[in-house]
Amino acid sequence: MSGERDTMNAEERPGEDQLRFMAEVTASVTHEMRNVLATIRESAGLVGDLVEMVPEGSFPRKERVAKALKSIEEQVERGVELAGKLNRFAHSIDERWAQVSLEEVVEEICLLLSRKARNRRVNLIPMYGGQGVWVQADPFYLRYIICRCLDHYLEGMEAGGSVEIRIQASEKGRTVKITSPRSSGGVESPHAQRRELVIESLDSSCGVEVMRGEEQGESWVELSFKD
Amino acid sequence: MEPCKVLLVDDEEEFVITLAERLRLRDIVVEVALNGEQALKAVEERPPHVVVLDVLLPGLGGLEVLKRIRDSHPHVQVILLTGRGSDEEARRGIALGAVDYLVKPVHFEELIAKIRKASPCQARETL
Repeated sequence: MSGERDTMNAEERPGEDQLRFMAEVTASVTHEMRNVLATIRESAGLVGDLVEMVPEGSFPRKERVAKALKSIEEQVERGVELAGKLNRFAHSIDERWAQVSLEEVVEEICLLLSRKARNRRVNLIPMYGGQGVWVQADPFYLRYIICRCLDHYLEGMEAGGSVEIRIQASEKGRTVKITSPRSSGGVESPHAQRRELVIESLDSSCGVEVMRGEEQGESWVELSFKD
Repeated sequence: MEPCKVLLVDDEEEFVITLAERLRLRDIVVEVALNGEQALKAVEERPPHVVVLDVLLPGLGGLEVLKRIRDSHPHVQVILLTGRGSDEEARRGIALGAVDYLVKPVHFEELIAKIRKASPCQARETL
């Protein structure tokens, strides 16, 4: 495995320079987003402080202002979470081969794809055993494969469907299994057929084996790690 | 007990001025610096109890500023502001003598608590 790893460190991904450029710009912007969010948080905090200093009973609709400030804080938290995950996603290209937490990667991808899933009215359901499953992989390529597999379902799925992303570890190895009921329309649409071709073309040389199948009315894609 | 004297160092002017205003409402004496050079000058002329220092400063970087403050004014405590996922920077900062670090954007109450912990000076937690 270490020989394979050395080869992978020396090799460049296709379009490596362009990918790095995109990642650097994205990471830089996420830092700027943090500054924006920090300023919003403190400005809202200052408004809260000033409202708090007004004598009791002399500030009409004080509760409404407090509610609006709470909403701002919640949205700042949401923004912080998104910026953090996007930053990590951008930095995934930094290393060619690394120890990666599957839980963290799946959580990150589910958040970053949440908008797309919501637009299609599809639920992404991550399912962890809570045991902390780590694998050796190309951090960027791992994310790419999982995103592409989720695309396979999201693109062609009917509204109201759901996709489960289950992380498992056993003696046979560690897996990420993405499952969707066939009734959700996952593999039937032209979109899905196109995505199937993408999945078939995924390179399994980066320590990830991609398998597909159907059973008990469900279609699934399984990523298997055998390092 | 003496009121806390804090130097805030960050190049985000709107952020740092607003943060300073909130701290002043809690009787903390606050000075603001927008870059590393200003920060070093302020420490030299009016040494604070605590410096809250952004790591990502243009020009003279935060870690270099930290190093110089620790060399010239070892009694001044430094709390770093880092980005999420910048654990390595935080570790380097602690190794260089920072007393603590906070991830930006900070939670205000956490900042006050860390300022109080860093130096035995007076800072009100509430208004």
